[in-house]
Amino acid sequence: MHSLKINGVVHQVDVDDDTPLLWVLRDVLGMYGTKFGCGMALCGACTVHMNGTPIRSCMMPVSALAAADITTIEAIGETAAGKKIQDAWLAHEVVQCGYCQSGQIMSATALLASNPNPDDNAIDAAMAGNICRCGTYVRVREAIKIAAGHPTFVNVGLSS
Amino acid sequence: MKAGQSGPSLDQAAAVDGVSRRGFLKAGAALGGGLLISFSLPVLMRGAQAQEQAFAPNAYVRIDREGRVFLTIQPVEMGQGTYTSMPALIAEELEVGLDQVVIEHAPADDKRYANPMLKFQVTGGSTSVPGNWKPLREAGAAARILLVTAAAKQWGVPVDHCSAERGKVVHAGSGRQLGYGELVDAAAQLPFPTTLPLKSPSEFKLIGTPAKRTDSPGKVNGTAVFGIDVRPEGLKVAAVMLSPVKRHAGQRRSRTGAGREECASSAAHREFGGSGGRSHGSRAQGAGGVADQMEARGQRQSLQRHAAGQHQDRLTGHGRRGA
Repeated sequence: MHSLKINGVVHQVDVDDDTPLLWVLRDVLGMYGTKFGCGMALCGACTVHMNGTPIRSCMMPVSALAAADITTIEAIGETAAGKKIQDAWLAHEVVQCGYCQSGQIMSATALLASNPNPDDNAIDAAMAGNICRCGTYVRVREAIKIAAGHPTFVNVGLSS
Repeated sequence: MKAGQSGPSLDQAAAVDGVSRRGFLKAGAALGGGLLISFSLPVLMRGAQAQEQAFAPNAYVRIDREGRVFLTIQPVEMGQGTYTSMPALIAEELEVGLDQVVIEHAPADDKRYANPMLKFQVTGGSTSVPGNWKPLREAGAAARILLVTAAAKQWGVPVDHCSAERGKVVHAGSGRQLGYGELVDAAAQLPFPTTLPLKSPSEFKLIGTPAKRTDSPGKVNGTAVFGIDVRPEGLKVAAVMLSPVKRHAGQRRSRTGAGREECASSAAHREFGGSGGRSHGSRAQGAGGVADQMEARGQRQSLQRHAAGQHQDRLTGHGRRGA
């Protein structure tokens, strides 16, 4: 039995020690917002926050998360940075197919929370682990700047 | 909007073939109250059999008493924007905003939801807009005509003195207006219109204009449902298992050799059944396995770990013992 604090709620889950967090989220807790992409921490689709730091949940065993605060896409909008990122994503219509976007938003939120005004290099470094087959990278970068209030995008405005 | 500006008046309607039109569109009382417009998408007519298929409903527009417009539509949203373009087609003629449309995906049903151009239930080939361009607009127009007619009858005024605007019917002469939700029951009792006038492109408000994607919010907050998120009852979970023999044990065996089959089978059997024993060669129909959705959670988690990329180490261990 493992105790996991996810989005502020403590869950007791009866899984093996090496069960990846992703499958606890999706199959034990029914939280489907976090996506399975590669299963090998190569694509970023499964990104969640552990104590505010982005991690790949597909490779993170539950046994390593006993004392962690885990945040997923379902609750990231309750954080200031997450709300800004989500609003910017909508204002700039970042999404295409959308499958990778939960992970993109989790990584972008972690970046914005730690760096309120990231430049291109910082964005590229923070987002390099999140793959998008649709190729939304340009809009991802621009939306992060919108969320950061970058002067280049002052006219875009956030919808809410 | 003033009268007569909401789209072509009924007088402007071009005559349409009543018989085939009824094949495309049927109006009636929806379950639970409301106006239901069912319509089939056009099929390429090839003889009598195709003629019959044209009578099968393919998608549904439902307006409830609150005036909400539900659109069940076949093309899947895959990032190409069908959950915005398809609603726009019907909303354009129905005179509602995209913010007033609830999109519901069609269930799996090849007969009712065949792609009009590709003949089976599939999304692709850039066929969604060309195939649905006219029937979805006609479905919206039919609903609007019935609602406007119902309002005109209630007010005792000529139909062409009334217009539709954002989910309401307005009588400009008196300023009266009724929401669609207030009209659906009366509209459902009306005979189906014999003509279905469509807007000219110069009258379009939605088609050809920028629109916010209706699928974006769910994809930004994690609530969008993708294929991997669907959990139908009785769902089986399958995972591919790789034979460990060739890669890890350094043994070269023929692709059809009994040893390889047995190895894969042994690993799969242990992962699945948990018996720990060697399996029979006859069980090996390939490297992989299937488990029931709700049974034996441990087995399922094991499968999921395989899917999560941890299969190699686990199979190595089993494979070595098995070999």
